[in-house]
Order: sequence, then C-alpha cells, then structure tokens
Amino acid sequence: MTNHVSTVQDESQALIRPETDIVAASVAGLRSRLRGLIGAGVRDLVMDLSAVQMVDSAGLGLLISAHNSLRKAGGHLSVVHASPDVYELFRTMRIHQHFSVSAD
Amino acid sequence: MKCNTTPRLVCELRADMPSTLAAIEEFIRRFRLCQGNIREKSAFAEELLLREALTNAAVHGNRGVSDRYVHCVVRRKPGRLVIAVWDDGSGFSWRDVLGSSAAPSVPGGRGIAIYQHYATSVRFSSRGNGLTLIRRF
Repeated sequence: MTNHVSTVQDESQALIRPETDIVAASVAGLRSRLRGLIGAGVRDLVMDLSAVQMVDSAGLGLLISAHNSLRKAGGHLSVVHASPDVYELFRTMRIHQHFSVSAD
Repeated sequence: MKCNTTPRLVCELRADMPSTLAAIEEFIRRFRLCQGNIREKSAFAEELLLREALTNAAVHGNRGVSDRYVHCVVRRKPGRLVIAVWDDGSGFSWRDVLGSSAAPSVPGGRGIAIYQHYATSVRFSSRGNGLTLIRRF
C-alpha cells in the first residue's frame, strides 16, 4: 500500500504520483515519503492522482497536513488529475479552498 | 466472514475483525466482490462510507486495542445498501458532532461529514459505539 513514483524536478519542485489509493492503510508510507521530500527542500509539490481511485478522510488529512507544512516553508501543494469521484470529495469537503485541486 | 445471496437479499457480508487497518483492507476486498455491476459513482460512495465506518470504529472506537473487535454487517438489497458497524469501545458523544464540518485547513474531523453527505440515513446507537448507514440508489 506504499507504492508511489516521484520525480524531483529541481531543488524546490517535485511531482509525486501515488500508485495506490490514499487511505488509512497507506498514509503512513506516503507521509514518510512526503516528509522526505519536504525535508530535502522541496517547496512546490504536485500530487498526480491519475492512478488513485479512492481517497478517504485519513488521506485527505495527509494531503492537508502536507500543504500546511509546505505553506509554512513558503510553498504549496497542488493536486492534479483527480478522478471525478475524488474531485467531488475534495469539493464537498471544501479542500479546494485550501489548495489547488484539478480533475482529469 | 461469509457472503450469501438470495433473490431479495443480493449480498450479505459479516465479519468480526481485529482493530487493524489490514483487517479493514481485507474486508474492503470482499465488499468489492459484492458490489457487482452497480453504477461507478455509487460504488465510490459505498466504499468510502464503509471505509470511514470501519476505520473510525477501529481507530477511535476501539483505539486500536488488540483485544477489541470491530463488528460489521453489510446487506445489499434491491435499491439500497445497509452498513452496520459497532465496536467494543465505550462510545462517544455523537450528538455533539452531528452537522459539524472541519475547516479546510484542519487535517482531521471529516468522518461524520462524509457519512452525512454520502449516506441517505445515518444512525448512531445511544452510546455511540454503533452506527448504521443506509444508502439508497
């Protein structure tokens, strides 16, 4: 539940593409990876959800925490390629008011 | 754990599972087999509801205590899904949090908001350690 592909584009920008759903059982592995990227100096992080079918409240919490950490350091999180269902969840929970979320 | 089918009861799943995320994932895998060919949009909502109910019971209800179990019955009937989940914990004051919604910058506190958005009916037991969700489609 912890597979993901990430590409560090330069010192401060990175793209990460989780290969599994972002749910309670998988957030620990993804949290560790995100902390590593932020600790390495990444400030603008793009999360590509094109391979993600499900995000639960634990997953939402992880993404919000990541954005909060990035924002304290002067950066931000962007979510791209969310499925229609995941995008609706983000909007329903008003997450799109906190950081950028775009659908396919 | 079993899965029965009858003409009116399309599918029924029952489980008494330890309070672990691995046990929840196993139950979710079995649940997906019972979803059959329902519309994709409803499939997402149903799985999200089940995930939230099971995770809340294991993590918040039982607080991950190893000898406390999460009990679940899922029944699919024509036009509706019923999810009943209860735990071995002491419950919580659910009346205080119904209708509440976490601010967009707050990482936690969205489980009940998800119930209320995706389920047709949300009922807690009086003590708060039992939950029944109904989604009609």
